[in-house]
Amino acid sequence: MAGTTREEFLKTVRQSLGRKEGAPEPEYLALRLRREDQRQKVVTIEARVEARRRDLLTRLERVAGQSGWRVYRAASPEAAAGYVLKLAREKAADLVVRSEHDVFRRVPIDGLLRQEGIAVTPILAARAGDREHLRQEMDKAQIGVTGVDYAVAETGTCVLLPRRGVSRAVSLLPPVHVALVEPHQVYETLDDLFAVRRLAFIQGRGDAGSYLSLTSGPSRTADIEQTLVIGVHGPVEAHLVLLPPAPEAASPRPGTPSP
Amino acid sequence: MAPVQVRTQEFPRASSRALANGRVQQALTNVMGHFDHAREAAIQELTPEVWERYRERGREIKRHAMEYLDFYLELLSERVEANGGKVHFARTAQEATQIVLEIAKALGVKVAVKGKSMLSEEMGLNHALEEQGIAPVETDLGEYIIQLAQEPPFHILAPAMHKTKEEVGELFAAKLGLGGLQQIPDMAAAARKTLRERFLQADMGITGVNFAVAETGTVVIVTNEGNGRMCTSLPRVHVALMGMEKVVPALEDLSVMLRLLPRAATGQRITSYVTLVSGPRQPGDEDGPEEFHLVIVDAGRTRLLADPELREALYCIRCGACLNTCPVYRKVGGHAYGWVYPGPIGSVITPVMVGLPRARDLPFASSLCGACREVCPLKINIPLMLVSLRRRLMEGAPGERGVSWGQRLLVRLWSRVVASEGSLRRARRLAAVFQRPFLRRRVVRWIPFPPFSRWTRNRDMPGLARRSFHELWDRDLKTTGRSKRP
Amino acid sequence: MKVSLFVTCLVDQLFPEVGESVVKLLRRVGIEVEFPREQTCCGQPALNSGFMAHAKPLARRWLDLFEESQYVVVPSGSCAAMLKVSVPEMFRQEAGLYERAQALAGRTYELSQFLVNVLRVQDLGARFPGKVTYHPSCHLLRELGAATEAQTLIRGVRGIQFVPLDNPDRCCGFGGTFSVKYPSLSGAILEEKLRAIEATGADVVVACDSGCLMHIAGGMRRRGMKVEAMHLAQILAQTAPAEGAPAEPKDGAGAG
Ligand code: SF4
Repeated sequence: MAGTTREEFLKTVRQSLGRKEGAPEPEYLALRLRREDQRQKVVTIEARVEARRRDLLTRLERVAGQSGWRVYRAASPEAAAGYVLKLAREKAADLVVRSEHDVFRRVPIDGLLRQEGIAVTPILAARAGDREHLRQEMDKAQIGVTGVDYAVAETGTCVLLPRRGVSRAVSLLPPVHVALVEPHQVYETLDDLFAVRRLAFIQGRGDAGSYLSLTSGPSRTADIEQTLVIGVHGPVEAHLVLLPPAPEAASPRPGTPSP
Repeated sequence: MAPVQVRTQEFPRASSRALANGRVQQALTNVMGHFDHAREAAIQELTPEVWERYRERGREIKRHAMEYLDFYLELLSERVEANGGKVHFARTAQEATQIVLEIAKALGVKVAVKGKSMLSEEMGLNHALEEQGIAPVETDLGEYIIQLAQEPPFHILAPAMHKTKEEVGELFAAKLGLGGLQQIPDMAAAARKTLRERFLQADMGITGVNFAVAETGTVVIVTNEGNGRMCTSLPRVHVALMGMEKVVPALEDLSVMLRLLPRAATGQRITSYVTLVSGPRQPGDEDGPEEFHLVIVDAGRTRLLADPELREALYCIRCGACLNTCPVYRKVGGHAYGWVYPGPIGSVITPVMVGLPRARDLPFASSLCGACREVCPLKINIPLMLVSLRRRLMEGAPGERGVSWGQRLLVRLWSRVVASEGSLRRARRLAAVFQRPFLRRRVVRWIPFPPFSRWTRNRDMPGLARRSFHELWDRDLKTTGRSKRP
Repeated sequence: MKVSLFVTCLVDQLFPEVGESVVKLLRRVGIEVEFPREQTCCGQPALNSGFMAHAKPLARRWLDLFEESQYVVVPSGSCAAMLKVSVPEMFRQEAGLYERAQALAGRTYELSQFLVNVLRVQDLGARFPGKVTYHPSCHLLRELGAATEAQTLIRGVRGIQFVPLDNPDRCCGFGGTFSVKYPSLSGAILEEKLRAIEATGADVVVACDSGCLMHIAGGMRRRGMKVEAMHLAQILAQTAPAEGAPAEPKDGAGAG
């Protein structure tokens, strides 16, 4: 295999730093926080976020709008489903793909769309089997609908953690992406998000998940004459649907600290 | 394998050509202002105080990461492998290219889609892939355009900013058979369609890396178009190329870096997409590559690391802000610099990467106005590093020195003159005689001797004053407590 | 209060009227001015061209000549930045010298900063009838952080009409030896500055650096522009114009 061994490479780096031995583990705050401290940190974040929930939702709505999301604040899960249906009609969609987020238990888009003769394919490989086929479905679909795993008010960002049932491509290949956001998923800042993810990493014994996707608006470019064009490779339209809180206790999010 | 073309020696001529090139000038005038305004507005929105705080923190993160680079690279590579990825180390750009080629050959790759990566430009990767019968397809719209035009990037962020939409239209017609495109959105749509096919076809996705988180073994790719997500989601294998300085210690460091980069680059709060990749797809994942390779590249970076005066250059996050604000870049554009990295930071990095004597004109291609340092999100002291390089060229070891005989002679002469007030006075008398034939109403419009001739080419030059300040002082000013004229 | 004037080589040789103005206006506000006669140049041209070995003796000279001074005043942002920032840095490795340079650097001021931040004067009793714009030179602005001082002083002048420059903080393209190393580049950058100056409709462009002024004035003359380039000191030194005399210092356009 071409290349240099790690040892050789690190030796050169070490020499450049004027060190003979490997570095002692650096004192670095963000790394030193061990599991319990990190958990405490996240508990504090949760409390702050909870206390500011209402403001955060408003901020998310505002910032996301500025970033190019089309934001819809749904009064009910049914209204959210209706929004998706309306969109599907507008786009004359005949195929909608969606992820397997929990939120679809509240927002029953499948039945609603199918009643109108619009096909809905939940992207769950185990059910459909053939990945190539699924990918073609996603490429053909006019709309991809997903839940989110987190949202960040500071940047108007929806965060997806691809896994079983959550394809990377559902929010990417179709020209329209609809993200359904539940209030308890909204954090205030990027710091919050990464603190929560770091806890998940520690609690998962070093499993960071294979992928984390932060989306803040539609695909865009300004590569020709610095003129903004929306929709190059990713979605041309990005819709953020903000749901009302669930009546019962919210379903736990991936990063929620275990007590 | 063809090495990347190094044309840094040509800067003096290439910059003059760029100044005389109406199209380049037009493009620069049309576009450059946008960047500056967008950045400024984003900082105002955040407030300059908060911006300053993030800059300090970002600087501290990078300073720390560089100081413990060996530790963090080791941690990064361990964690990536724990996530199921494969890590490769390359001391040179050529080694890095070999690694990519071997991965591609082992998998029988025919088409590789690429995200924007300046490192791959250093490697001359596209050329090397083509030679092996593998089709590299640039997918960032700007990169795609210049790939079609067979040109190097003009700007690290907006590689095709020098192309007008008419030129892009002609290019699409000639190279893709897509005639008649006149509007920019139509061109983007055409690229979307063409490249979508390539994405679905490709066996390999190659991307750069904006940040690499050591703690979690995660690489971060920042894009607006979504091509980064495509390259990391659709093909069977993902190869990420990173300069070794991209590492940051912890996940939480990203929040700072992600606030600095988009604002400094395009004035955005955040880019449309930020993608964190921690290895190949995991069991149960719906999609994603089966293999993930991370190639960690030195290619001259340890020379910067070892150099206390230049180490800061490794803090660079390639936002392009220093290019956008630089009076020189704004006039000559990216191609004149003759290698991968143009602008102020390029004039620091390039000489170290390609060899100082070969790039001896670059450190001097600056008025040292300091605008770059002022806008740099990492507060990198670029002017100071340029002066340090100038010093090596003039006073350094024989291997570093640039031959500039004339300058050396001049500075010796000048040194003698200013060594004391007496020698200055004598030189002044001589100069007064010497300037006489060229003086017209106390001004020199033309003088044939360098360096003065280089001044009078486009500016008038004042003659020596009738009396020096020293003489005025002795005559009128020394004794009187008050000035004569009320 | 006693001030030692470091007049700079450019002012000494080409624009002595600027130095004269500095002496005049400092004395007007009751300051004792002395001029260490042995001074020549701060060494910046050598340092910035890469000849530190040639710059150091000059920095030493400055140190030796001015060490006893209460204050050193320099009518140039660039030379002041050299003395305040680069010179101590140059001696960082040399114990003793470094501390001495630091100490003297702390007592060294660019003229406009000295007037506004040390003397705390904004009105020097100057009168200047004319339309004036101001170019903040780069080292003054960025290395010394003088964002407002000069403008404060200009606004304090009687009879003056101040018009701001577009993109004032853009470099004029002078850059010391850069201006002769890359003349066409330097000239192209200057071109934009000249256009901005022209657009203000001002009669006079003011700056605090004779190098930049020489470059700007040289370009303006070459283009046949009728705008004068003047050092801030020349504006501030003017009080009521003498009977029948034009509203300029006797040596003409200062830098031009
Ligand atoms: S040197 Fe600073 S301003 Fe220039 S590209 Fe790098 S980070 Fe951006």
